[in-house]
Amino acid sequence: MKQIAANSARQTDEELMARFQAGDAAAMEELFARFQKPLFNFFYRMVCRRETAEDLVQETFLKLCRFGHTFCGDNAKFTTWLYSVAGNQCRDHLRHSARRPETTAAELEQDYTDDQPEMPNVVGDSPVEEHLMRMELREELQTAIKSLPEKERAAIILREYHGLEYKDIAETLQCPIGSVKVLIFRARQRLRERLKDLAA
Amino acid sequence: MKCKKAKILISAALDGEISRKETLALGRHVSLCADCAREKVELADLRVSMSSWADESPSEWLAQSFACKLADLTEEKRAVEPKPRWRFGVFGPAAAGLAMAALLIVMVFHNRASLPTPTESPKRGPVIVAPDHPKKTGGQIVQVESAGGGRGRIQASDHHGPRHIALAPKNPPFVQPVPPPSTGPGAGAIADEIPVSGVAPSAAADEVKFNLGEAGIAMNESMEKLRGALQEAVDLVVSKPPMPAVEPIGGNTP
Repeated sequence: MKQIAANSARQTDEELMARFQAGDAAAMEELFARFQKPLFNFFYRMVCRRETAEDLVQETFLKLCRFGHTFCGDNAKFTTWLYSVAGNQCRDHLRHSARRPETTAAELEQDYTDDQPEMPNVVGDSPVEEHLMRMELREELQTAIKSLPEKERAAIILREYHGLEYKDIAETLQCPIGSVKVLIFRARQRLRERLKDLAA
Repeated sequence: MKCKKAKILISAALDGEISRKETLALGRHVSLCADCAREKVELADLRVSMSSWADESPSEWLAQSFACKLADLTEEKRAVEPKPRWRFGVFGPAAAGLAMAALLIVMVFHNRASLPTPTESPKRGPVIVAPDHPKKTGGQIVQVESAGGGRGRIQASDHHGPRHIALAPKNPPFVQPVPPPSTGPGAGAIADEIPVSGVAPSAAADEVKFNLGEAGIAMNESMEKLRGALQEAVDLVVSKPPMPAVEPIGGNTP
């Protein structure tokens, strides 16, 4: 197992995808292992619900399995294609959930508090205070990001938390690079204002 | 450079997404504009704040759940994939016709090969030697020899082939002859010319052989006709479909 995992680790994402296209299901499991965490965090930051994010991760990978034959590793990067599919899944989910009643702040808080990491060992007050401050900042940040328009939200998340270049973000969001620059600029402006308001 | 454009470039510069020329121009502007300089600092702080939201790990069951669904999907794909089979496409009917024709040819040659060949002479069936007495009573009379050594005369009518062939063996025993059915005025003369003598068993066998040869020839001819018809049918199937009928402009047929 470890030998197989080590061998797979040396292979690029495109090579693994080619193996899957050739009929090797284990290659898709390897890709899932590589990208389940970043994809989960993308969806979690977009929808702010843990269970929904996990469902979207599965749906995205199942879609890759069904339409894997359309990917050509010579012309495109796997990560760009993956986030394109993920972006479409997220957009469809948000449009579908927009028809239903919006999630209340209490429900959002409940989801958030359920996912809290364990409290650190208390040695003096500073770790707890620091922890609480981080928790508070995270909560404010989560609220501020959730308030952004969908495209700005996706652009700033892909840039800040996934390190995608502007051209990859442009391909993922299917817009020009100039638009990506403006989207990220506006997202940062809004976040800065929102955090100032929340801090106040 | 205006501050509006400079602020966008400040944001892009934070991500390393501006050119060298733009970097130089921005640097000049920021050094002169306090507002844009403050903007640059605030965006850097925002980045630090955003990094405080660390990545989280999904549930442990997610990978197992996906593995099960992937296995189901793989099974589903295997079940849906059609089995490879021969497809003739457009040439299906033509291929079927050719196959039938080939089968018939094989049958014909097999029948011809299985027919009993005459042992005493390489000749098969009657051979027209020469016209003997051209008594024109209803048709030409020709002398005929068979492979078994028997001889006979055939009244070749104008419209049909020989109606009856009765052969007299060289050393015939007594056999009641069968008069040939004939309607022409010369029938009696022909009947007189046939030696009235019996037909021995060997002669009967020769007659059988002769008739079988004749039957074989007839079968061969009919098979040839059938093959020709089949070939025409195959050619018709393979050829292009006829143009659709065009209605006359007048609408009324002449």
